[in-house]
Parts: sequence; structure tokens; C-alpha cells
Amino acid sequence: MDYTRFTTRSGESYKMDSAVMPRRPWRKLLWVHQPYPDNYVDASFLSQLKRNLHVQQYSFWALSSDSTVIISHVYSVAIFVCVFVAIYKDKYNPAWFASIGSICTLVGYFAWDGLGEENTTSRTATAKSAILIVSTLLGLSPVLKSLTQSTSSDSIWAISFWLFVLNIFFHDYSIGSKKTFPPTLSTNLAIAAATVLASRLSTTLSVFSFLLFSIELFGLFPIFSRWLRSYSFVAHLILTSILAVVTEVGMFYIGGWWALGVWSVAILSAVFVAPGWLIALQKYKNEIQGPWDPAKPVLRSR
Amino acid sequence: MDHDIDGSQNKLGIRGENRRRSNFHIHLPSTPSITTLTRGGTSISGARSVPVSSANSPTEENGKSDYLSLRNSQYGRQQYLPEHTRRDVFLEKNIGLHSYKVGKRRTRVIYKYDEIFKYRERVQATIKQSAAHPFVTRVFWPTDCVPQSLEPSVLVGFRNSRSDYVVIAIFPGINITRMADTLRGLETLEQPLSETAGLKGAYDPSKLAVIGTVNFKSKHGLPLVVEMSSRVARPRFYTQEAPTAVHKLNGHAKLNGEYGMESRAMPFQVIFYERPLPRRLQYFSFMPITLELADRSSFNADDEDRKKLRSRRVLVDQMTKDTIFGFPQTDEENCINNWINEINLSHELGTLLEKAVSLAAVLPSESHSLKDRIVIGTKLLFSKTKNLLSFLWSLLAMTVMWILIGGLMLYRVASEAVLMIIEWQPKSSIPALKDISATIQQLDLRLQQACYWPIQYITLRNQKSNLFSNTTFHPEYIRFYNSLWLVANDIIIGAAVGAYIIDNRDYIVSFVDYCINEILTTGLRRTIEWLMDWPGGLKLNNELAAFFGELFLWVIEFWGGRYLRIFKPYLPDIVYLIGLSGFVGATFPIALIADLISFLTIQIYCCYLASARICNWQLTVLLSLFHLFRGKRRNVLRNRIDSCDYDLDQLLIGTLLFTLLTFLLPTVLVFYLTFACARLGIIIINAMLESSLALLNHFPLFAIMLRLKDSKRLPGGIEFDLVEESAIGEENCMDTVYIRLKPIALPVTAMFQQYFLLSRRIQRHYLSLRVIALLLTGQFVPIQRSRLYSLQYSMLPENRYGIWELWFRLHVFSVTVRAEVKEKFALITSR
Repeated sequence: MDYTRFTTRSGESYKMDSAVMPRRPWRKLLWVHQPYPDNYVDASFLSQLKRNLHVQQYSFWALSSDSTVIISHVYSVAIFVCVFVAIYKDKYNPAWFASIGSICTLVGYFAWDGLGEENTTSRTATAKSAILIVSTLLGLSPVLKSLTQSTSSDSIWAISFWLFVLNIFFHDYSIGSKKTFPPTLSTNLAIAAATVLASRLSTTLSVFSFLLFSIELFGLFPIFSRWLRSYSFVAHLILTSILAVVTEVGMFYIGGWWALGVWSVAILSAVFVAPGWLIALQKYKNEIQGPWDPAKPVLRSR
Repeated sequence: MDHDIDGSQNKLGIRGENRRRSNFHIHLPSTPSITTLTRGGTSISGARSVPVSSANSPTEENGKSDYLSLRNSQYGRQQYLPEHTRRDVFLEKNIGLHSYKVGKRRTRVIYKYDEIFKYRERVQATIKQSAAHPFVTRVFWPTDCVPQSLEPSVLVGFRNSRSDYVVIAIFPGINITRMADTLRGLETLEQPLSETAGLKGAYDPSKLAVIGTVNFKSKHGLPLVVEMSSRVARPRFYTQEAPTAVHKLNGHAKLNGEYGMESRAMPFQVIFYERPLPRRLQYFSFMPITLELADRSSFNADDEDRKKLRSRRVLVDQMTKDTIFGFPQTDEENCINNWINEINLSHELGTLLEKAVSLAAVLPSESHSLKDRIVIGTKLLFSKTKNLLSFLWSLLAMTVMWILIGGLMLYRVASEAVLMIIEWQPKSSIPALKDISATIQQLDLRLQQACYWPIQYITLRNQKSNLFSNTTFHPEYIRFYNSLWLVANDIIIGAAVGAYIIDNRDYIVSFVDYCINEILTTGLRRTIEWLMDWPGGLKLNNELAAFFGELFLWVIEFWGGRYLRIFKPYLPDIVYLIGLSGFVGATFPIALIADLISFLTIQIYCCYLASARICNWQLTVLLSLFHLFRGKRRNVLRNRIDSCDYDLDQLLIGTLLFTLLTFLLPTVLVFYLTFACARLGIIIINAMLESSLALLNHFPLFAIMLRLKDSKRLPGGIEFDLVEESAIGEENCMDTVYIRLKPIALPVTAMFQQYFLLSRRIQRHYLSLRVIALLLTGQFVPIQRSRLYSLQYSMLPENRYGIWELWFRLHVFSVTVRAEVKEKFALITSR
């Protein structure tokens, strides 16, 4: 029996009694008339289904060492908050922080410059933009000081909190790839938060020092740490542990034992508990692949 | 398309859908109903129509005996409207141009194609029928000149085609040949009938003829044979020959059945009309009378209106490319333009004919009795004295006219000089004096009006010596007297207002003084001080608010404290001046008050400008910094937002400034909005004053008066009423349908059309989202004064007539007057 002729005579195919006629095997072809009802599902329908084809198995230590990248950024935010609280409560001279920050920045710059990273900008241009930023800060500090005088502190805390949360979410945590840097949005969010916080300070000097410190911390330090972790991951771990120590000390001075305890628990759980949890959750992974997926083009590069 | 029968629509009118659409096509859109009448296929319904003899008429069976519907294919190929109008109108009405937006720019227009095809079918069916059947004979019958006595009479009128007649007069008891002679002589008439001068060219003399007889049969074979039993009875039409099968009822039975027609053929259509009186400036017209100047009405349409009109015209053109009206027009179709003219002419021509007939009757009598001689001699003496007196009078008039012409020319030169100063623009960007000040604008309007009056007067005067039935000058007449009336009115009201102002001068001065002190100086200062001190709980930036506050306080002090103090002692004189100006017209005090308000509030305007600039600048900067904040930037070349990699220093400084400006924005916005509101208030006050100016300057007072007094002088179209349909079973008597032609008075909305146009335009320009957006972002909202004023100038020609033009016209006018005087002189000297 010629198959095509059978299907073209559409009127007859409906009348055929399935019990009488020998059935042809069902085929997954929509454009062919077949002697099966519309809602018929064959046993072979999902035969080509595949599960979890591309799922990787994570190792615990790799995950926890990678989480230090996030932790180091969270550390820098925490250091920043500590510095602000210190200055806001008039506990320390704001110039100290600015000077320490500047010294660290210089050290970092020379290390970055000396260790053979190819420079896109010349040193004079860098110096020029540094001078520009510093003088702009000097000029704007008095204006910034009175910017949010009429606003209540609570709204300022709220604004800066959300800005920092967004900053942590939008930060660039990539390792090694040569993407353009700095990441615009996260830097801007951090600077905006710093500006808002700076406007709560009482003296022009403190505003200036605080802003200078925040620019070094959020503008320059991410560049350095990113370079460092692509240069050597061990160096990155060392830097992270230095940051950890500084943060712990800051936490202790600002909030006492209580704050230190909470903070340490949070960090430790992020580094050690969270990766374990992720690995434990892997067994619920259910990725479905099949021939119905759009084809992936294979690009032959070079 | 189907004007199907419903009880309410008993008028087969040219009235149509105007209630909805009040602008350009006042009475045009409804004309398809006429077309449908003639083209057949649609229905007429008449309230008072009587059902015909045929007992099996379906309407009667339904018990609606007072209500009869006709489906008239028999009216055949007679057309009432010229080709292009007809189809444009049809398309405009029936296509129903719906447009909607597709994508960003494209607009798609849908039309109801099926309507067109339906229409086409119907028309073709009608053409087929009319080719096979004779035409309906249409007779326009004047109702106001039927003679008292019902003796045998002669019908005189126009014969436009073999089936189209316009009766203009009925002469009782006159010989047909004599009547024909008189008609022939009318062209070459050498009588001192001044009216004949304009007759030439007003109608086609070859069409004017004796077209029928009343109550007797002549052997001349005239087309209309009428019988009237009484003066008020309907004329009945008879054939001279035996009725043909076609005219018979049965002749149409098959046809009617075939096309589903419910009624029978009416070979005669009698359309009653009342002759419009030309001396009273009455006339009939298809088109509504246009009160504004023709070139002005197109000028007034702004770009958007014009674009709409244009696209509509293009569309209609495209739609009718494959025309369904491809057959050549016949005489019957062309006569559409004729009959309305002929009806307008009828009264004047009728009286003229009467005069000619009576003269011809008196002329040949040689023998006079003594009594006759005495009568004639007295008459002669009387007329001589009359001639002499009229000569003297016109001589006096001529001298006065010369003096007036001299004065007019002097005035014209002086006003030209003033107008040139007023309208002078050193650069196109700098506004002319008249665009700044309402008073000078008003002055400009009055001067221009005064320049136009003599020309209008001469036009009207020339028309007067011409034929009255010429309908072209009526709008001009209304315009002229309307503007004169308005000026007179203005002066009367102005005198009252002026006297009132002068009488209450002290009170007004103290009031203005109070306004200056309390509102413009102290009130403003208090507002600004309030703004400086956290207004309404808004937490503004203290330093910036203090800076703005002091800046604006300084401006207000500078103007209010220093300059207005100099101005204050002159205030009584100024108020007195305003009062005096009322004697030139109420518009002048109003304009002066508007100007005074503008002058006194300059400081608010300055503050508004400054704060608007700052606000707009800040918003612009904030927008671009926001793009920077997101790592984007605006690409002006492509007009889009691109992503961009900024340097670190750019990012830092940009973000700093962004935060700074965001926190400063409320302060700037509050100051800006305060001054914007103040400015808005002043604009609204000024707009109210200026709209009252527009009302005083442009109110269609004369037109409304005419509408009340005699609505026939303001025709807005015509309508037809079905009066009666009769079929008398008498031998040779034609079945006739009686229709009444009535003028429609110009609707009041059409008189105020300019106002509607203006309000629509104002609405579009000022109540739009765009304007609100402009206002909120501190951008300049343009006030198009010239647009607002286009209403006021709509009665004036776009370019005023020059001095030489005026001189030329006056000269021509004086020459004609002189010729008249000479003629009169000749009349005296000749015996």
C-alpha cells in the first residue's frame, strides 16, 4: 500500500476503522496525515529526552576560594562604613584615613606599575586626572557639606544602604577576563553613596578626606585587586586576609565584641557553609535537553 | 448610503449631517441625499404625503397611511449637482475615512470599499432604466405671483432643456404672440429702465420664452398646459397629445416590480418656490453664505488643518480615479447651476416684464382729450421739477464727494505712515510694535478697517446701480455693515465705559495702587520669603534657597521699589487717559488695561525667565549625567542612547555632580513653579481681556440681526419637502408630484464658526500634553499672538489696498458720478 496515496485521500483516512486496518507505526510528523486521533501520545514521544547534560560537579574548596572574591569586596564596603562611623562620631582625625588611603594607593600604584602590567595611560595623564579630582573635591566639599542639611539622617542612611546593596550586586567579580574596567554602574553607585554620606559630616576637612578615601577605596582599589587576582591568586588570598584583619579590628572598635562576633559568623558561613550548601543542592538539579531545543550554532573561530 | 425611511426624517434635505460637523462643508455633505433622490434607489418620505390610488400599496397595508415611501428610479438621470461636488460629497460622507497609526510615522487610511461598490451598482442600474424611459419633466413654479383672477394666462420662464422649466411669471389675459414680442424686445429695450443695464449676461436670453398656458389651450404647441381651479389649488398638467403607454401607470408596473419599487411613475415634478425678493437682498444658494473673506478662510486654517484637508483631497482624488461617473453630462445634468440663478432672477425679471408689457399696452394712443393733456402736462411739469431738484442734489453731492475724496486720500496717507511704523520689523526675529502691545494691535486693526471701508463702499455702490439679483455682493454688504455696526457699537459702549472710568477715577487709582503695593511688591516678597523657609514642609537646600530668594527679592525691589515709585504719581493721569480712550471705542480701554498689566508685571516675567532658564538647564544636565551614571551616553547623530566606556575621573566627577544636582533640584523647581504659576495667571487675565477684545471686534452682530429679521438673506442651503403626490384619473392629466423648495437659513453655529475654529486651535496649542511637558521642564511656551489675532483680521483682506489702488478706485468712482450728473444736466436742458 502506497503510503503517500493513502494520506492524500484525506476523507477516507478518517473513516478507517483502526481495529480492522493494520496500523502504521506513529511518526512524530505534524504535516503527515496518520490514522491516529489528534490527542494521541505515542510511547516514543519523549524518547530523545536528556537530563543534566551540561551540569558540572563543583568541588568544595574551589567554591570557597572563589567566594573570597565576593568577600573581599564586602570587606572593602565594611571598612568604608567603619571609617564613616569613625569620622561621623568624631572619634578619629579624618585626615588620618585619607593619608593611610593615599599611601596604600601609591604603594598599590607602584606595584601595579612596576610589575609589568602594560599601561594604557601614561603617568602624566594619571597624575593630571588625580590632581583634577582632588581639586574638584576641594572645591565641592563646602557645597557638599550643606547639601542634605535639611534632610533627616534616617533617609540618608536608607539611601546609602540601598546604594551599597546595589553596588555589591552590580560589582564585577570576574576573574582574569579582559573586560573593560572600571564597572561603571557599581562605581557610580558607591560614589553616590559616599557623597550622600559625606554630606552628613560637619567640617569641610572631614568631607574632603572622607570623599578622597572613598574614591581610593571604590574607584582605585577594585582595579588593583582585580589585577592582583589575575596576577596571582595567592596574592589575592593574602590581600583578602589583610582586609579581613583590618575589618575585624574596625568592627571591634566600632561595635565591640558583639559586632565582631556577628560579622565573623556571617563571613565564615559565606566562605564555608554556603559552598557546602550549594553542593548539597546540586542533586535537585533537573536540566532537560532534547531535539526540540533551538540548535546551537557551532562557530569555527580562526 | 441608505437614508431609509424612518418617521422622523420627513425632510429630504440638504441638511444632512451638519449638526455633527460644523466647519468647512456646512451644507455640502448632505447633498448626496439629492443625488439619491435623482439617481433613484433610495427613498423619500413625506409626512404629509397622501397615498396614491393604488390600493395594494404596501405602505397602506401596513396601516401607515399618512406616511408614504417612494422608491424613485423614474426620476432618471437628472442631476442636481455638478459632477465633482457630487462625487466628492458622496465619498466624504460614505467612505468614512478612518485613519489610524501604524508604527511611528505611517498612517493607514481605511475606507469602506463595499459602500462604493454598492453605490456603483445602483447608479448603473439607474442609468439602464433611464435610457429606456423618458425623462421626468420638472417645473419650478412660483407660488407668490399667481394672479387673482383665474382667466387664461401665459407662463413665462426659462426652458433649460426639454424636460426642465423654471416659471418666473404668469401673465393673465395676454396674447401669446405679443408676449413673445415683448420678450424679444427685452434685449434691445431702449427704455430709461436702469435695471436693464445689468441684465445683459445675467441669463441666457435664448432660454427665456413663453413656455406654457394656464386654463386654455393654444395652438402654438407649448410644452406646459396647466389648469388651476383656484388660486390656492395645485396646478394640474395636461398633455396635448394622447397619453403614451409610458406615462401610464401600467407602463411602469413591470419596471417597478423588477426593482422592488413601491410607488409609481410621476412624469411631472412640480417644485414650488417663493420668489426671493432681490430688493430685500434675499436669494437662494446651494452653498452657505461665507461671512469671512474667501482668501482669509484658507489663510486661517493652520498647518494641521491644511494637511488634513490636503490628504483628504488627495485620497478622494485617488478613490475616484476609476470613476463611476464616466459618461458625458447631458443638458439635464448641466442645468443644475442654471435654475438656482434663474430663481434668483425671477422676481426682478418678472417685474421688468410687467413694466414692459404695461408700457407696450399704453404706447400707441395718439388722440388725447383735454383732460388727458392736462394730466400729461402736469406730469411733465412735475417730472421737470423733479429732474432739476435731483440735478442740484447730485451737484451738491459731487462737491461733497470731492471734498471727501481729498480728505480720504489725506487720511489714507497718514494712516499708511502710522501703519508702516507699527508694522516695522528691523529684523525678522524682533517682533513688530503691534505684536507687543494690545493697544497698538487694536489701532492697527482700526486703521486697516478704515482703509478698507471706502473700497467696500465703492464696490457696494457700483453694485447698487447694477442688477439686484446678482448675489455675489451680499456677503460683502454684510461684512461692510457688520464692521460699521461693530465700530459704532464699540464707540457707544466705550463712551459709557470711559465715563464710568473717569467718574470713578479716585477709586480705581487707589485700587491700582493697592495692587502695586500689596500684590506686586509685598505679596511677592512674602511669597519668596516663604519659599526661602522650607515651604509646606518641603526640605529645600537652605543655601540655594537663600541665594535664589535674595536674587528675586532684589529684582522685585528694583522694579517695584524704584521704578514703580516713579510711575505712581502719574497713575491718576493714566487712568484718566484710559477713560478718555473709551470715547474712541470700548476696545481701547480694554487693550490699554491689558498693556498696563503687562507693564506692571515685567518683574514677574523677568523672574520667570531667569528661573525657567536655570531649571531647564539643570534638567538637561541631570539627564545627561543620568546617562553617565548608567554608563550610557546620547548619540546625537543617530538620536539614540549608546553605551559608552567612561574614564575613571569622568565617572567620579560626573557622579559627584549628579548627586549634587539631584539634591538641589527641588529647590530650583519650587522657585520656577512659583513664577511659572504667577506668569500663567497673568497670561490668563490677559487672554480674557483679549478674548473680550475679539468679541467686540468680530461679533457677527449684523448677521445675527439679519438672521432674526429676514433669514432668507442668509441662505445656508436649500431643502425639499414632499408636499403631495397626486394622480387624477382624468384623461390627459399627468401624474404629478408636488415638492416645495425652501431655503435653509444659515445656522447660528456657522456664524460663529470662526470662534469655534479659534477655540479648537487654542485648545490644541495650549491644552496639550506637549505644553504641559514644556511648562514643567522650564522650556519656553510660545504664545502665538498672530494666530489668536487671525480671527480679528478675518474680515479684512490679507494685503491691504495700497494708496494708488484707492486713488484709482476713487477716481473711477468720481468719474461715474460726474457722468451721472452730466446725464441729469442733459435731461434738464433737452426738451
